[in-house]
Amino acid sequence: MSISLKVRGDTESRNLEVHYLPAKINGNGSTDVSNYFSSYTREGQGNLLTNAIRGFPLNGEIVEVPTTHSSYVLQETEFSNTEKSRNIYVTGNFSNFYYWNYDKIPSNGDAYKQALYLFNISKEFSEPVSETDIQIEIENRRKI
Amino acid sequence: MSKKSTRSSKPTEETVVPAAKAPALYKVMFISKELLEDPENELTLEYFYHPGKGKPTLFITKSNTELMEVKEFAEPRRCWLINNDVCSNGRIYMTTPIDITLLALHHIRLHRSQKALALDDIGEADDKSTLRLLREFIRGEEHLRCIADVKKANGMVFYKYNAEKTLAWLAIKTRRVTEKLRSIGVHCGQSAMSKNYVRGELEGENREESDMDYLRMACDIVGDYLDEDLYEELKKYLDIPEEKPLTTAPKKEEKEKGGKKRKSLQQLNSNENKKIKLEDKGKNATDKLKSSGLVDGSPTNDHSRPNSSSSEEVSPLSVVQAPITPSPVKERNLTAKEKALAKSAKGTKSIASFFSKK
Repeated sequence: MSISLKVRGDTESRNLEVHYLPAKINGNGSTDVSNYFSSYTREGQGNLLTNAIRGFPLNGEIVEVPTTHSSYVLQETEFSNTEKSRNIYVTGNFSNFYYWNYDKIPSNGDAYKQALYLFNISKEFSEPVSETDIQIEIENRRKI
Repeated sequence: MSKKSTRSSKPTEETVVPAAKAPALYKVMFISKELLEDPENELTLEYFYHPGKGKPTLFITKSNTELMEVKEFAEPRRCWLINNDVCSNGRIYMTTPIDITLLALHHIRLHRSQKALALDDIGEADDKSTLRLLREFIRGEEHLRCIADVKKANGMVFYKYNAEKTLAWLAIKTRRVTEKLRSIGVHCGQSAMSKNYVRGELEGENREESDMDYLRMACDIVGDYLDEDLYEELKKYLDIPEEKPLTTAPKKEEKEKGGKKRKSLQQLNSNENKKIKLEDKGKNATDKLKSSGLVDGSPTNDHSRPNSSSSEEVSPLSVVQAPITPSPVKERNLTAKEKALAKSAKGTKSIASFFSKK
């Protein structure tokens, strides 16, 4: 089974306003985000933002998507019953988003920030090793 | 019958309707710009066998030439608000580069006891994804010479797994990752538990330990892409000692401590027992004294009566508390005290009885 990702021609698709909330919401659907949430965003010291959801205080900041990547919101429009070929389309993209923490100032200790190290590490890890390096390593090993 | 038929038909309609009206299920994905350079290329999400996970996992491929891993970032409580939509799936799907040799390694190792094989013969015939992986994405010699011996005959290329090469290759990769981890300043090892606090301590004395921690962490990262037995071999190759498990070590200590505690408790109990005995002895002595005093005259009766009355007050308490206390374990000491009280009460009673007799 493979899923085809239709990104073609969507490089200049619409820009979305995206909030990354520290809450589990059991449900999908539309709601008046701008009226009930975004309009309550206040700017504090520095670039720190504050808001609240259901009375729980949120601390946040605007976070740029890593420069090596483009961020897309994907949507599977129709579920085919065959499951042999599925298509996923791009709804829109965003270059930055609101990153919210529950009652905690965003820092480099956050799981999201830590996860971004992955890009550096996996890049390093995926670099090919030259054959001479391997030979040197084997010879060094044999000496021991 | 008609009612039944309508009832049976209704739920089927209900199940169909929400599926059609289902709100759009969004997914947020960070796609590497390398994959997007040429908009004409089609991206495909595919499943390939992942040796570290032991099952097929999601990869993203571009026009049958490039392949990247799709990793999920999932915090337990996260969701997205996308414009005016709620997206309950709070994951971020990220594409990360992967050395495709790692995926081939598993399949080549499967045939390590056999003769050198051509690439097409390595995958099982019924495993289409593996065949596709080997045929489309692995550029033979370029990807496999670091883990296999390459033999050419009659224009065909054959590969045989080479353990020595593979370990050397993996060791180099692990060391590179180690350096990367250090340059980024990722916290690892024991200090990772308290990233917010520890830094200064790391610089000096524990430097060697942290070197090993970095190496171990790198080896763990590399090991996530390896078969389990190969991961063990790599650890042996890199001389990574078995981790003093943070979780179990304190437990052992605790156990020891617990043992000690138990012993000490036992000792305490025994001490208490001894004390009680001593007290008993002492009381016996006082009894004797009192008894000796009793012989002298009546005024001691005045003393003994309040004593006996107090003992009577104590004894019902001890009787009441005694049945309650055995259930909670924490109050063992109390029970011991109460026992002591009860014993002492008994002692005083015996005095009273002694008096009554006389």
